[in-house]
Amino acid sequence: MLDYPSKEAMEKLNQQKNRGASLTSDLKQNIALFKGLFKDDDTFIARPFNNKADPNIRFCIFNMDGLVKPDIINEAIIKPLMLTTIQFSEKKRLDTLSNQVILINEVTKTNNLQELIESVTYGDTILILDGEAEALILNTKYFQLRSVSEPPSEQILSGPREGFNESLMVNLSMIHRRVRSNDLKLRYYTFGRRTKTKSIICYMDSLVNKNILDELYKRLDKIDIDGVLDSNYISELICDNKWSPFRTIGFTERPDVAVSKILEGKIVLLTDGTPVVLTLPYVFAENFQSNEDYYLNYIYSTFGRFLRLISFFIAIATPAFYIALVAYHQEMMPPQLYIAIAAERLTVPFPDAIESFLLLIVFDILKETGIRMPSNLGQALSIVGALVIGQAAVEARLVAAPMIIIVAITAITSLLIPKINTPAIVFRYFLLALASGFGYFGFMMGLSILVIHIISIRSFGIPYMTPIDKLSFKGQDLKDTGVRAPWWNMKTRPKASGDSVRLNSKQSGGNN
Amino acid sequence: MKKAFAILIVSFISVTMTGCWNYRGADKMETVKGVAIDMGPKNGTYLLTFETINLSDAAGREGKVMPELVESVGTTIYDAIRKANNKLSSKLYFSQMQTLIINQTLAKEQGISPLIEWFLHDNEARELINVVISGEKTAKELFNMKPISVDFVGQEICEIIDKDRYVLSYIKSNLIYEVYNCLNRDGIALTLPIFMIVQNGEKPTIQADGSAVFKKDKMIGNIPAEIVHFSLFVTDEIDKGILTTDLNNDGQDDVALEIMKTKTKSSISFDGKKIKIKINVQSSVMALEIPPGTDMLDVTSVKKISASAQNRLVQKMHESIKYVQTEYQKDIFGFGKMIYEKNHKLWHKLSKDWDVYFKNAEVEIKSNIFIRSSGMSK
Repeated sequence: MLDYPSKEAMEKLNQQKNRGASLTSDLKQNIALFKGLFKDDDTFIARPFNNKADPNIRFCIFNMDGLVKPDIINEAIIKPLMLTTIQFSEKKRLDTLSNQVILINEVTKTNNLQELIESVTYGDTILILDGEAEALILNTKYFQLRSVSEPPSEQILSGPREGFNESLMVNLSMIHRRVRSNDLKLRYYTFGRRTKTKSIICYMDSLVNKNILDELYKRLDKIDIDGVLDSNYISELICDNKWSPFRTIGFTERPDVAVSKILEGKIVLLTDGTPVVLTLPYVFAENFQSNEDYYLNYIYSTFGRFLRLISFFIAIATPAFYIALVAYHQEMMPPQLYIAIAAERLTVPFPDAIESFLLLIVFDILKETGIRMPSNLGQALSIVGALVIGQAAVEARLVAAPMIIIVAITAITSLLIPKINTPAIVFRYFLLALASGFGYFGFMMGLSILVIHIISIRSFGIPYMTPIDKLSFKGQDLKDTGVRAPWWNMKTRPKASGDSVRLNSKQSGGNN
Repeated sequence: MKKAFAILIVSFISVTMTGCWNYRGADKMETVKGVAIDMGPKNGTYLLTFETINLSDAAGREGKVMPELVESVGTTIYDAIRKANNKLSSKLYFSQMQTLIINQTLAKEQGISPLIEWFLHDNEARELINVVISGEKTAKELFNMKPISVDFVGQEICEIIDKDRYVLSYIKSNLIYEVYNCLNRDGIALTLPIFMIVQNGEKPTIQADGSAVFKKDKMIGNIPAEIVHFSLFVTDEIDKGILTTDLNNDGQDDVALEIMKTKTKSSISFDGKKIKIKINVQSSVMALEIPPGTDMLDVTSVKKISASAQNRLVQKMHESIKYVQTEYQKDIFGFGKMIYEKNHKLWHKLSKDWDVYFKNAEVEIKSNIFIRSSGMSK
């Protein structure tokens, strides 16, 4: 396992490093302290200045180059402080400053060195006054952000086109704008020992299941990691079933999706520095739902849902089904089909099973390359891929034509359901291996394993197959799974965050 | 981790030790479409001819599949099949086999029970194989003919029989499991269709022509096709077909009715000495050929047509039953089966002399034909 020290040991180490390190009343000492902390960090700026009327009042501000807006500092901090003629009493000078002189909207007073370091590195300005052992943190954040645009991975035909951004505040604003009620609760949380990444947990107080919320906090407290750069770090550390390929925590980049999950009673976790937010708990039926279903006509959406459901099974089972049919159970085919397939098989060097593995791997390579290569090579690669694999391989009699069709169908249907990519790959090869070894018997065993696995896993205590995990489900529960019932017909909230929660602390994730 | 390793090892072992137990590449199999059984050169041997699919030309868009005949001699059927491996590089594969053709001399002298044994026991060969008798001197001649619409004779025979039920109803067919049932069950005699070679314009081809009648499992004769057709009315095995009749008694049929639905109900009773059978045929037809000028909206003329057709049907059914009673005395209609199913004790009494009872049975046939419409809008 990881061999760096635990959280508590790290805190102690930090304290030891900064020992004797705290703010004193002497300005020069404080400046020396900060400069020492940020030695070799050339972007750290220290600007000492005095008040014009009374040169004995000395200030110094610290900020990081590039993270602050100089205009604010000049106009709202340096100018009023330099030009003020206010009379200070001996006590509470910083309070007087923040109440009457400084023109910043968010001011905090502290002497916690750790807090000061965290805020100056995020874009705030620190103000120290000669003779005071505390400092003021002033909000002057200004940095370049990516503009708000539709996320490329979740594009829709019609509907809102906003997408989350890398800044926590901007994301927060998008959610807040959509839920204008004080029932929406937002709590800060910090991860990562070295990165101290901030994140926010949002939920609707009256809708959320408190058990799940408590469980979430318990798991988050157990996280012990260097830094969190993306939400996936968190999601893998708190999920229920560490070994299962199925994802039990959803993710999205769209604010409308996040808000719809909040309104269903789920919890949303936003993380600074990444546009991807986590939604939990997450059930199997959500793999097939898309936000576009709710913006378009319900018949079209129902049809789309059916297509996605069917393509899940096609993407997993087709190669295995075909191999079992052709290699073990030739009597199941009608005569004409049998002749066509047998004729192709005669010309090919490899047995069916090996050929199917090879072709599937080749197609996966092509797909991965398509994702990662620079876009100006795209045209050349697709031509090469199509020509080489499809045409030339068949003509050179290296692979049989029916196999190409099977693999193409598998590849296309697996692109339809991007959320279940990982399980699709795992179970496709698993079923193929079983079918190559044991025919339909193996195929059925593999399917049983898949079904048993799906039914048995839980997402934060909720069974993964809600609402169809119990046989006594009512029609009302199904209105959002295989079909999308029209809005005038959906009268209850989905059961996912409802009553069938069973939390077993042995199953909770985390890295203990 | 240990669990994962254990599972991996177990799966590797299970694959290698149980060894892909039935993996068959389709190129290592010689697929048989039809089998013909004749007498072998020596006494007591059989000559089997297999019509297999030759795939060497078949790949690609313009691939052609050709039938390929393989012959083999053996002392029993299975022996001959295994001996065929001396000629072939791949094993024979019987799951796609559709037809079994039996030489009529073999059927008459030896009986077909030993011939169909292997096909019933083997797990590859289907129970849905069509069994036919060859009307020519040998059975393998049929394979030399070029079929009209498909590539293989075995497939063509099977398709002729299958679709006949919905088109013409002239063939009484028996799949191999039905043959087995007939042979082992009292009260019904076996019949199998006969296929002959006829001239079709310039080229010869095969054609179904009547049925062969069996006593136990030995063939004793054949029945002409038309008698078979009306015997199907008696046993309620007609799906579609046509009825023709002669309305104005000038010797030529001028009315043709297409049967849409027909149901035959028969009841059988024994009065101590004779078997009495009552048959009631209810049919619903469409009049497709009527004498020109007949007014189909006129109730009396419609009644005349249906009366004439009913008479013709009853007469023909009587003829067919009489023919079988006098010529062969074998109950191919299944009257014995009816008694067996309804009155077990009676059947025990009668079964020993069933042929005599069948020969003297009295049959009363009633027919009711309802003409739905004539298909013309006028």
